[in-house]
Amino acid sequence: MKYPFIVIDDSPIDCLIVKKVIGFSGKSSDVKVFNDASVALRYIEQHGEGERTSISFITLDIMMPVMNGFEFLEKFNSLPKSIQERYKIIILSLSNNEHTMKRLEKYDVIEAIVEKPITMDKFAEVISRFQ
Amino acid sequence: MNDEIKILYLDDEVNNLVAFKAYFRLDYQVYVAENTNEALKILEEHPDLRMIFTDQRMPDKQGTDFLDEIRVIYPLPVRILLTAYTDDLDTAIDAINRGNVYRYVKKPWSVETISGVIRDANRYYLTNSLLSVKNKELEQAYNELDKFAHSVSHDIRGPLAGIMAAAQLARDISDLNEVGELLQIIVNSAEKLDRYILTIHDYYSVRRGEFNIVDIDLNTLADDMRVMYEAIANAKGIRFTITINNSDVFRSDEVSVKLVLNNLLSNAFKYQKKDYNYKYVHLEMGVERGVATFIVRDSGIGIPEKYLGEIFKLFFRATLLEAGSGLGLYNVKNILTKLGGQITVHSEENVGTEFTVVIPTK
Repeated sequence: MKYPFIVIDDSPIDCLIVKKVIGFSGKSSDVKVFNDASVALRYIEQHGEGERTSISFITLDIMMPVMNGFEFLEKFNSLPKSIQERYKIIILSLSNNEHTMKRLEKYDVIEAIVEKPITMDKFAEVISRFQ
Repeated sequence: MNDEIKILYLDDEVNNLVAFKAYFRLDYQVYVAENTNEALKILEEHPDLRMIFTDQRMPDKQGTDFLDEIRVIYPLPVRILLTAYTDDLDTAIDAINRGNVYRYVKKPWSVETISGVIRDANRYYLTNSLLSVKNKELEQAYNELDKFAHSVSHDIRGPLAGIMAAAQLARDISDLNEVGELLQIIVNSAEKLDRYILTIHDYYSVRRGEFNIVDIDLNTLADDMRVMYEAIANAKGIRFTITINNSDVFRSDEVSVKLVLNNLLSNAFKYQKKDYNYKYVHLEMGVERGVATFIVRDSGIGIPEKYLGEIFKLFFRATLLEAGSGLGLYNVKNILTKLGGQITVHSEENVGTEFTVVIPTK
């Protein structure tokens, strides 16, 4: 089973790495990269209600300028349920401190929290939950 | 006479006030009040009063009650109680124990006693106010440290995580082209980390604020900037021009002035509009009547109006079009404050930005 991926991270270097990890895993049908979470949100709003039935994965960084991960999650939560249901969000962040984890707890849309640096093993472990 | 030491004496007996003023007005600034309302008025006009002497038994109020009341609003003046009655001793001891009264002096007072008390109280005042200034500085330092700890996890661990991830990936794959790309990621991450550490270094040299004031020649400064930005200007097709209006003597800390200009210029080169044919960065400088003015103007992407108030704050970032640490303009603002200078900004989105810096010569 291959899935479409959306990568949201302000660092172009990190995006490249995530893209490569996803690519090497052989689990992706398509990878879209966004450095700006607000642009990603607009894309999801516009393309969320397509024909496809399979789910998409979003990898989301937390500390980003302009729109950070929490703001993205808030906005994502107010999208129509029909769109939300098509996505599984994987938090991919550096700062997995207690405070951040507590704040993330209240979002049901989050499927997994992965601490950077991302590795093939960590990625495979998260994706295997959906097999 | 020591103008700095302001003393208030509150007593309902006018004779005492007159005597007090007569003895001490030559050495200190003495203010007297016959009742608590007058005393409050004087306190309001002179918040820098260093000490307050008050009689205990007054018709409108007890001295200890008065000291109790003013303590919240005017915590710094040292409070001293005078009384003739041994009945008041318990109240006085109680007030001292609660920290409301620094000294208790028995009436009739002698000039020697009061002189001694003033000297002690002044020393106590100076220590206390120094402490409160230091406390404020400390509080600010803690706040910044807090922000730092937060940013370190992002700006140092970020590139490090990139290096680790790319290295691990490179180990697991055999395609040499892919390995080459991953090595490039490692190089880019390491460079990013290095740049961040350099700005941190700037931050600390600004904080320490040790200046070396020398004559700064604007022509030499212009040459330095030209050499520094020639390569990037050519590479990105940006016209870089410098004009010098007027060059009186300018004395300042050269390292600081260069740090300010380098931050503004590198931003001007960095945040240019893509696909624009007339990209430019212009630096204008001059010294007139003891004030140096530097203007950095660019044809860049501009700064949205809502962010203009935020750009000088620690770790603030208005855009993610280019890599940045959120430290540069904060450092600039900090240096200028230390040099007694100022910075203003005008910006229009998609047109350009103009920073104006003024620095008084030392």
